[in-house]
Amino acid sequence: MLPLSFILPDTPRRGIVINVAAMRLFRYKGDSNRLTVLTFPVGIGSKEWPTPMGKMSVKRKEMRPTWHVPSSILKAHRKKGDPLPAIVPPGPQNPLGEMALYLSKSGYLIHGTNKPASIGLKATHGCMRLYPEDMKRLYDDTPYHTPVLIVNQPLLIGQLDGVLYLEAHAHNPVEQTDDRERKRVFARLQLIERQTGRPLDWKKIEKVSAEARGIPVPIARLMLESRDEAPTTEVKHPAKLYGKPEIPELKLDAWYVLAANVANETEARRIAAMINHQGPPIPARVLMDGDRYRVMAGPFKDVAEADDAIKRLKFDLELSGILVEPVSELVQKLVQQPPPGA
Amino acid sequence: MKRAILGIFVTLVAGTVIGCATSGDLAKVQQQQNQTAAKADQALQEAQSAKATAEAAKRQADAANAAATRAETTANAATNSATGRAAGGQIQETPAQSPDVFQKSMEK
Repeated sequence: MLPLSFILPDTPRRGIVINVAAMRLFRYKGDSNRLTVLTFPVGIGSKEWPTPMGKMSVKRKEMRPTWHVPSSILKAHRKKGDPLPAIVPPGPQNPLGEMALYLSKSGYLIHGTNKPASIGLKATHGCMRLYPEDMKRLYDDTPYHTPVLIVNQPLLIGQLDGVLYLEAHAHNPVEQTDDRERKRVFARLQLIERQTGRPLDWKKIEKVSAEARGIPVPIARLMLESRDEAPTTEVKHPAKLYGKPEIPELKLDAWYVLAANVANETEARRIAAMINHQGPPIPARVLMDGDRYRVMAGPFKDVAEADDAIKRLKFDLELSGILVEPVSELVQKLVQQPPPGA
Repeated sequence: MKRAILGIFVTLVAGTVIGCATSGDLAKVQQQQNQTAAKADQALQEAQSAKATAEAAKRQADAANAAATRAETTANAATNSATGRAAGGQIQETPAQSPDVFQKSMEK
């Protein structure tokens, strides 16, 4: 089931609002008489490099941005043995993607990505990443000086057609900000209970909060004529999924990298999927050999490209790849011919 | 004799009730038969072509596997010689990765 309804964060409805707990960006347009909202999933900062909270604005916009690598990231990569250039030009290697909105808080951006699989993960150095398609839409729709507000609201409450909903995202009550948010939302629920004179099911509220399913869950009917929860909608499966990797055909005249050799097919497919979803993508497939499964990355046009993939597998996925040379021309010819009698 | 007369009678009655096939009907049947035969031929050709494609893909996969085996053997031999271990045909299982490896790989 895909979440198609979202509870808006408890903030002024203007400009861009990002709720890091929901990993979702909201773009408000218009005024209170005719307000529209676009919403997109985002990737946010990791635990070590959290996305900063607070008010800021769009200071600069750039198409095909150049990435001036911050010294902290340069240092971290050097330490890992995987040095980065100080400047990464636009192109497939650039993690900013094709468009960027530079925020007034220096060093923080809302940008596209060359790793679409990172959307919905805490994997940035504090920036906010969008799917390339979503970034284009946001970029076109966002002028300079648009206000940006970043909040952390893991618990959201909203009403629709007389039904009260609670949307809970993963949170840690031990953390000060999450605990403060929880107290604020529970105080609001108590207020609703008092104002409507309808007792709320606090056990259910606790359960929904603990489960943190990330979708609005009905918790109470506030009016007699209120309808049941919103109906589910069938959505057409898109012909092409965002970031879905494309795996070229097996080519015997190309270089490959043997990335893994495992006895378990699911594990082989998991490793292949992780390789396929790197940015820029590294194509990988699973080949069965007897009772074992090989994960082959490639094809690569030359040994330099294959060597580069070996490095990326090592640094990014801790996999020790083995270089596989192209199959000899004689074998290629034999393979292309059907066996006698066939 | 009685049986023969009964047979002629049944044939005549059936002919009267059902009606005789006209040349147009026969042509229609013939056309249907031809269409069915053409479809069967096409299905057979498609099946043969799919089989040939699958066999070619398998031959390719086998050749790629053979190349991978050669590379793996060479790499294992190099590792064994570097670590002083005895050479052997043992395949090295790729160690399981920690669950947060992928998330880490999504950083810049």
